[in-house]
Amino acid sequence: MKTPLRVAEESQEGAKVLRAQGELDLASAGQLRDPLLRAFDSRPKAVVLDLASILYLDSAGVAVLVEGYLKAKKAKVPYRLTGVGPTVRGILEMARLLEVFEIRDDVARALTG
Amino acid sequence: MLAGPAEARTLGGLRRQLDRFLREAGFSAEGTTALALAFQEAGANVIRHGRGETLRVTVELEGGEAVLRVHDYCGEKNAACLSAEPPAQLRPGGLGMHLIRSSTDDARLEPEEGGRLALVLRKRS
Repeated sequence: MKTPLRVAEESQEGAKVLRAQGELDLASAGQLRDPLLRAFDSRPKAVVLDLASILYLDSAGVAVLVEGYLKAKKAKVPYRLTGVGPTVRGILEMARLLEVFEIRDDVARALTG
Repeated sequence: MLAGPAEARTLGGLRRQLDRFLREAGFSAEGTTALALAFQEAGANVIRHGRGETLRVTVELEGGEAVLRVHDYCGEKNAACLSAEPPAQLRPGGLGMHLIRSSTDDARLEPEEGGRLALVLRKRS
């Protein structure tokens, strides 16, 4: 049974926090891409993407995470990932991207830098 | 044989069918997860590059090894579709074949009827 992707957005302490839940794959990656890239437009203190409830990740999902990274560099806004569990970590390791992203244990830590 | 429309919305369902089949057949959990990822990426390539209207995959278990055959994967002129190096410069995309190679023991193209090539993936349990 497919778990559809849901993305919740909120502002916390001047940062944008996005929480993604479900399967982040070829079929759903576009649903995260738009709100993630848009989150940088208002120049927040940081953009935090919480992946704690991501159940599946493929290369299309990784591509969106990379797009976020590139947008963050361009906008000069810190971009941090949280809730990186074994599923997400395994794919990022395989893609040799684990060291590229700023990864924090949870949203509270990501908000402090 | 697993088969369905070569569309993004149906790919996940086929992947879950494959996952269930392998687990019920006693294939290891680690091997199943890896092969399901390889299937997801191979299927995504078929869909992205419009290589066919139907995604067809056969699975065989041979002495502790699973052999996954993604039919009609590409034409002979597209033999570069096995290129697997991750992009030298960080950019979105270009990771699919690298993930396929990283999650399987062997990935190669084999000719099929009609001059097309199948992508054959092997993984030990």
